[in-house]
Amino acid sequence: MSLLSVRALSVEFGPRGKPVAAVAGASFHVERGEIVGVVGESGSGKSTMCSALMRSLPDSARVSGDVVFDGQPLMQLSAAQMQAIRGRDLAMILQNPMTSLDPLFTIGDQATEVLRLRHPGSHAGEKQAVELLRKVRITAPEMRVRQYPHQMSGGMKQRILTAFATAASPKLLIADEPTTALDATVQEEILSLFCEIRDSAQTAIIIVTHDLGVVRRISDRTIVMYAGRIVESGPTRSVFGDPQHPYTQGLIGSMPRVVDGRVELNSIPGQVPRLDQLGSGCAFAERCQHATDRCSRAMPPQRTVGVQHEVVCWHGDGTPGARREGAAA
Amino acid sequence: MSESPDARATGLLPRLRAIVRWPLRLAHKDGPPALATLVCAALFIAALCGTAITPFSETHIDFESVMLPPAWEAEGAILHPLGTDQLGRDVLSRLVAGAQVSLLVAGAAVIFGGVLGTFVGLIAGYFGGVTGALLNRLTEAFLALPFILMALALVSALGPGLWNIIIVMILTNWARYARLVRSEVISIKERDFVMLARIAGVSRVMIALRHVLPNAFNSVAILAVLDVGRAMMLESALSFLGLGVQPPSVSWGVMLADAKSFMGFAWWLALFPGLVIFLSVLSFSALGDWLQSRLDPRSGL
Repeated sequence: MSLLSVRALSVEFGPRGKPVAAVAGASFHVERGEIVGVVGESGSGKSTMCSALMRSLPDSARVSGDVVFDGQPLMQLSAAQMQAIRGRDLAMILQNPMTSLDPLFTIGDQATEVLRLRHPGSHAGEKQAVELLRKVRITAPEMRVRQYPHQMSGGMKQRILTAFATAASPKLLIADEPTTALDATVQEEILSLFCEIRDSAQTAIIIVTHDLGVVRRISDRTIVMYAGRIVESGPTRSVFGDPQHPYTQGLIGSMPRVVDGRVELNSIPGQVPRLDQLGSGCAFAERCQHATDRCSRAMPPQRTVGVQHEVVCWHGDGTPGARREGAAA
Repeated sequence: MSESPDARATGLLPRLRAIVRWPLRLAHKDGPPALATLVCAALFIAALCGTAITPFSETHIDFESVMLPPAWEAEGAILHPLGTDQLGRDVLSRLVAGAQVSLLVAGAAVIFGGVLGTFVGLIAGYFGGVTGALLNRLTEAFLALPFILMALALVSALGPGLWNIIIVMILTNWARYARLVRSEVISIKERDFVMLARIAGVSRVMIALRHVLPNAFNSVAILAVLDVGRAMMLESALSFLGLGVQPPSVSWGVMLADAKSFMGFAWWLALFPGLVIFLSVLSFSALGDWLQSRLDPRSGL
């Protein structure tokens, strides 16, 4: 059985008569010890989907669908049961490490708070806090525990937050754009830290990002989202090597490449549609060069195109010619 | 004597010099305003020592020396530097005793009103919902009532006196803290570290006490210091109206009220209490402003 299985997860905001679906019918699963990358543009519903899994959305959000985590139906749990799972089995890291630590307390204070929360009754002190920091390879942890968040760099804070999130060896770690606010070299360190955590504790990781390079580098499977819907999902190698959805093709095509000694940079024309102005058909139809009448009229079905590789598109029959055309455009 | 830069940190003489310089540092551009600090310090010392440091008790009546002008006037006496009143009581001693009352009332109003208001604001802001809405309406209702009117009603119900005036001040004061803390809390609870504590499984009560409240503390501290001056003025106003401290106890407001009848020829009876009220209120305001510029990064310098 999968560690996490999500079926038809939807998140709606706004008036009931005219709801706006930030996430619409997302279904996917995460296995133990697996790293799953979720990619998509801003506003594609990636972060909302993660918050829905943590049940940390504001009360105004209406969530529907089935989420089974480690045998428990997450959406049906009481607030107290959910609080017991949060942080312990299901942890999360936020996008901005600069604002994710309380500016008034030292790192050591906050580390002991986390440790006492994870091991109630224990009297975790500075020694345990130092150990916790050492696990994420913070240099001179004895000094760092006495420092305040403003005395540290973003990369160091993200490591510390990763240490906090994984203090209880969670079964699943959700990382919402963990490297977006960091520079490239620090990003690399954080990613290898994630791999280590996965290898040492069999922690599954959902990594949300709009950086395809990150996903290609560390995730086992990739989920591509567009306008609140999962448009393509599959093993990373297969999604990157043989993208089926025109949007995925466009995304991969828009990664900078060096062709004949020059950097080539493509982009997908148009922009993400407003979620309250979606028609009945494929949300990508307006920007898609393969679009036909049928695309804007009716929602395409989900088709299996390879081993665990699924795509939601009327076209994309996988002809190599059409794909290369799409990628080059 | 020549002095190398690196000897500066360790030598005995430079250290002594630094200690001597310390009071002057108060006038540094980032330091607290020097004059205001001195006035407030003098007030605290006067209030702490009370009439133990003055030659007379504030109620000591002496018909031999009635209505003496300040010492520098022709008829003044050196024993009564700021003169005496119609019963021969020493004005300076009465001012010192009045400082005690003023600071006690203002301090109690600020501390108890502040604590009460902070918790009401924290609950209203962090937990919201029906409770929050009700608390917020209550706060607004208290803010809408004019202070003097409410004080009149409460004093006529409770009767005048030192402890009753403190209760009145607390009841009229807490709402401003509640409003401030509520608005701070509403913005703090949306910050990432609060979100993260929540999704890390920390209970709401723990988050409110450990993370939200400490982060709202700066604003409360600023308001509290600004408020001391305001509370002193309100106490004087109430006492002046006869609603506050009752004779023979003394307060600056009582002294001003007494001085009314003699204003024409005994100017010192009105001037000195008025000046002391003015200087204290101004000094606490200046200190509060300074604190705000230091603690509140949003208030721009």
